[in-house]
Amino acid sequence: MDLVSFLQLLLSGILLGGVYALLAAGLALCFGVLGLLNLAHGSFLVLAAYAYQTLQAAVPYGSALGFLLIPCLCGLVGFVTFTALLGGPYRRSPEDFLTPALLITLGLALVLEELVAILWGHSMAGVEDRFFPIQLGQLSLSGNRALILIMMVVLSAALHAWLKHTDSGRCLRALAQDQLAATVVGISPVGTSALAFTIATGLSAMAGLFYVTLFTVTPHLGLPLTLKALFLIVVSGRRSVVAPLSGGLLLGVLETLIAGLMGASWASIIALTTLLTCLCYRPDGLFTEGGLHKAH
Amino acid sequence: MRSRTCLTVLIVLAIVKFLLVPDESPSAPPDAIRVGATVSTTGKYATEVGPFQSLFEAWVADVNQRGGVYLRHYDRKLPLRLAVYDDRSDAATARRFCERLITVDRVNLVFGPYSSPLTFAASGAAEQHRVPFIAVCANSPKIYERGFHWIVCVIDAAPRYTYRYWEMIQAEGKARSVAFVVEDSLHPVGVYEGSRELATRAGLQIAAAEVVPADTADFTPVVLKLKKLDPDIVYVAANIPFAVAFMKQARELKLSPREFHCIHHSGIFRQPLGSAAEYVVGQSYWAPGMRYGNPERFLSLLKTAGINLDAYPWSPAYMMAFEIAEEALSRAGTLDPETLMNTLRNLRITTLGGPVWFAANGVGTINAYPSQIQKGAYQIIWPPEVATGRHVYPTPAWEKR
Repeated sequence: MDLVSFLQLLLSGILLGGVYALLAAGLALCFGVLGLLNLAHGSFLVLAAYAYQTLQAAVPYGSALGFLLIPCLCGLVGFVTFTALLGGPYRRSPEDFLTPALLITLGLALVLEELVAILWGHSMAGVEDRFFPIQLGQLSLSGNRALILIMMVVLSAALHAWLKHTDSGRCLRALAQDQLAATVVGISPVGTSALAFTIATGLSAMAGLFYVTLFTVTPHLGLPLTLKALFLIVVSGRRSVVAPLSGGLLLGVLETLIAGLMGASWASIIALTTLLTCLCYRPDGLFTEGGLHKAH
Repeated sequence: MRSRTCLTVLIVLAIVKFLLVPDESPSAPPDAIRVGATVSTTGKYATEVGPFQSLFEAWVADVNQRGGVYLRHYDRKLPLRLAVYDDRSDAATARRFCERLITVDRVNLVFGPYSSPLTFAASGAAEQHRVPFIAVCANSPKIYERGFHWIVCVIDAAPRYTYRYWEMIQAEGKARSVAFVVEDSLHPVGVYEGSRELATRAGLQIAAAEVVPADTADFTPVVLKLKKLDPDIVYVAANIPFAVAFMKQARELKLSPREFHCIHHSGIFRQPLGSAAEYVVGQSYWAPGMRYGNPERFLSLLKTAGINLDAYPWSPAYMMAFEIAEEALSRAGTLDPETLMNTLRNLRITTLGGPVWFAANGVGTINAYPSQIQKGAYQIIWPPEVATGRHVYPTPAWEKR
């Protein structure tokens, strides 16, 4: 393999890592920080993708409007969902929250799936990519994927800074560490968690807007995407909002290089086996050292 | 004593006659022709055929508006009565509902579900109960290798899916090499295997054949390889989501063969690709401008059903199935399953998509025509007697599309 091809593969792998990180960002915040495994994560992504497609086709400047409006609206839906459906069980028994949360979010995922299917009549969604490829000498860069990667780096840094340097972020970390102690010192568990869930849902929606410009989306794609994101979080380390970006980059580069060297059919299986083997030695995830709990 | 024996013999004979001879006397005709189908209204195939129950309903209403189908055995027109179930895109459910259609709804004719896996399962029930079964969009040869008697399929077998394209390439004599990019799933692999052989027979050199997992998110390695090989044709044997993702990256990485062929380039294909979809060649069962069958009736049914042809490119195949069913019923003139099945197997008619007849294993002759996207519309480009447009080869550069 010549140097240009190698660099092109490396670059594409890095950009693919950004896409993986984008998929996992919302779930990472929910699962890693809040301890809530939101099975409706992918369904919010799908809902946002369809809404974006409709808005983009129906309204002038629909793309820009979509990027401004849809994450905010989905965040609002997330806030209402948490307050109405998840707040009760969370308030009653924070220790045993995982099981009811799993069931509630699974139910929500199915409802959202059907809602999308009814509203958009089972058709596929797909939006034209408006970004031109970037040419760096002999190397080509997908404009869309480059934007996703830049956004993920900024977003991960912003989330990390929020959790570390703001009051609400500190409250969230305190809740993640010891809910009872946090409540005793006056932190509202439901209010703080609702804020995190709102941001996480907004991130899922943001992922949907980008995802639908790269790939096609069907109403039933939600749960498979959630599982994909969950895998990335487990491998990267669930107690950090930055870890999925590192994990995504590693997975993306591994997959692309293996596909280039050995053929595309080997890429996923070898990359995933390598990561799972690493996980045997680092069961808390590959990128947990600087994680949330260490930040204290 | 003797008269009692005679009476007993008469009663036994009457019972035997009642049991053995089907009640088909013209004096007691059935009240309707019962037809049944399962449609993937929900589940993964809903994106392909979700609203097709409406298409069935529109067809039945259209036939019934004209008084039904004339069956000479009963010397009257009988209306169609339809039973449809949602198979949820699941093979076991399709089989279960096919059983129900036959045993509970007592249908005279079953239309198969969408896709090969579902048809493979559902057709077993029709074979077991000896009821005519018309498979619509199910071209995996595995379905027809089982020696079933009670099945016919509208469309040709998967390996021949693009034979007309290779015929055209050979006749034109412009392309010299082809590289295959294949989605690793049942239907695309089946089409690829047949196409590879047909391409070789057409005199093309096989530059590469990359079988890639269906959920591939980055095609850079494949695209780089193809850029080096520079084949005349890049042939993408894939379902639409895979083909869209590949084409997006092909444009980003400036892969520029003389032609892209995506076996499925309808449905949502054009929308996310925009100008990148221009000049892509693929397969269409029907396009406006073709002169076979009764296009006006087809378009009217689509309108009644509220179905958009571009979004649901399989709808012409269903129309052909309706035409086949109507003609077979009319020619059989009876609802006797054996007669109806034999009529179906020996049928030769011209449908919306062209002439159809069935091979001994039940596989039909309807095959897709090569079509090219030109200024956002599908043009059939081969054979000349069917073509609605001219084949543009080589494809203009990306920036000129």
